[in-house]
Amino acid sequence: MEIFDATCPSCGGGFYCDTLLTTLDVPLHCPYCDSYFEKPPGPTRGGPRKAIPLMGLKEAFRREVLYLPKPVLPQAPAEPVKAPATPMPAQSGPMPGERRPGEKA
Amino acid sequence: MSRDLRGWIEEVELKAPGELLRVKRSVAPDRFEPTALLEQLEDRGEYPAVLFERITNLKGEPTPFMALMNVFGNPRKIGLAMGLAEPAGRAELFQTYLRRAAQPRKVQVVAPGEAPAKEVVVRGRDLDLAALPFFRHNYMEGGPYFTGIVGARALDSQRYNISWNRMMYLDATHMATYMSPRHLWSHFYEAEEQGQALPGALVLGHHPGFHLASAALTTLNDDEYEVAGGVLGEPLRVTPSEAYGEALLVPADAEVLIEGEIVPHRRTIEGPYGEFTGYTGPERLSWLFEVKALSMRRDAIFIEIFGSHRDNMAAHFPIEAHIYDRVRHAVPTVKDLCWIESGGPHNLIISIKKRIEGEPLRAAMAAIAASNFIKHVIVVDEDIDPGDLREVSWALATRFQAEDDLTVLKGMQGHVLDPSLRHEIRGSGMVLDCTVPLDRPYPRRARVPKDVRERMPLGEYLPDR
Repeated sequence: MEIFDATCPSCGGGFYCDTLLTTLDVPLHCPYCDSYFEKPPGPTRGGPRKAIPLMGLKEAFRREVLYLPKPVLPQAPAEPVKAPATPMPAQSGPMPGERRPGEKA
Repeated sequence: MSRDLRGWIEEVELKAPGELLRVKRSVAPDRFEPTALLEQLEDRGEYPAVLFERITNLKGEPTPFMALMNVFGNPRKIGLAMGLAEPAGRAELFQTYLRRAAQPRKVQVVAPGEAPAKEVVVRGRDLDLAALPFFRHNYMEGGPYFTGIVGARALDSQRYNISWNRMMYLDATHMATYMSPRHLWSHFYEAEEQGQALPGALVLGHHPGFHLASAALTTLNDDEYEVAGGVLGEPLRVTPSEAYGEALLVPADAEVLIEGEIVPHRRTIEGPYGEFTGYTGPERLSWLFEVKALSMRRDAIFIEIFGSHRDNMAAHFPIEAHIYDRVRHAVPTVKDLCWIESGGPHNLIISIKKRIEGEPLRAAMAAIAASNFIKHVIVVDEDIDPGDLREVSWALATRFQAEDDLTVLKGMQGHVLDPSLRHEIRGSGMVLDCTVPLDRPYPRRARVPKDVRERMPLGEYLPDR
């Protein structure tokens, strides 16, 4: 399993994802601000996957297979924001501005 | 009285004071607060179970619930989970577990009215998972989690599977779960092929013997509810579920049951999550669990594992015991082995009384075949304690020549959570034979003559010692 680094365009938080996600039509989820955002377009190694046996997917992944939590809906790519110099602070709690489920953003 | 978590807590406080501590101040599980305390204890080499008596839910509200963590943090508590009153060594723990797991017991079905887990039942529009105390354990985790036991029945048989699975909160009635390709994955795969969901119940809190049994290395012919009965030493009491009736029996003495189903032909985004490997695994494509009903005790006690830390690895104890069993079947002169205390989640150390050349590799292959958790096997002679890494390192330094004693295995099924894999599941392994060769003279370990040591007791010459 290989990973790629991602930066949330909303809060600038850094995290990482399975490279499988680069080959699928899925948004990424920010662990800090709970937003979903589309990946920036870019080359993917090996191209789109026709099947993913490990995930029990026997044919190419389609967007409608994906469940995103309510009330969060797929969003248009957000305007990128400059990541803070230290996007991953020491483990002392959620990132500033983190929203609890049920709280309004 | 049947075995449950409350009885176990009383037993531990009575028999093993100091193995269970209580935190009376309020903590917020979704804001890393319980694990912040546990990690500080771990840094001091202390692994008590900790009962958090006041915890908040995802809305930040106080709850009537409690949370118990670090239940499996050290061998003493593994023994207590099996009812052993006195501390036991690794071999005794292995034998106790294997003896019990080999004596499965039929479940005892009780009416819902007799099931403590049904004191409170929530269904339909009243369901709101945010009312529960989900946990964040480690920095960067993709959301709040429960890491509990999923009990599910194969659609085409009466077999029940129980396994540790993480569940990330998504919304009021949905969680994301990740499955390694083992039994639950197989049962879901078969259900999905038929276009059906796989019903299951997430069990959050039962007697730790039940939780231990969830890591058993069984075959697809073994009913794991029955294996849990064997480990508990009495039949597991089960009751019809709220959502599926008798089609899904659920543990009657659980603290909390979240019933629902893994949804076919849907996937979701889950993670990052602190995994047993000691790393925070990446955000992944995962499976969707749709919640149909919730039942619990009024003042439920949630057992939660401390992901990525010692509690997480130690909860795999049954796998280590089963590997011990299978390796000894292959090579009866295997003396001991050490996986959980080896310091590496994919490293296994075996000690053996070697009789003929080739036995070390045979023992190692049995271990690798038994579990895809095992990637590297170091085989040492019986004079080396496999739990003493200094001794093991000495054997590696002085009884091993890479050119002759290293076997590299390519194309093995690895473990999906191993961060060193380049492929999503295929990897490589190796066996290091650190045993003394039998077919040529070899130097002896330098030791003082035994008879001289025995006639010179230390206390007679150094009274302070």
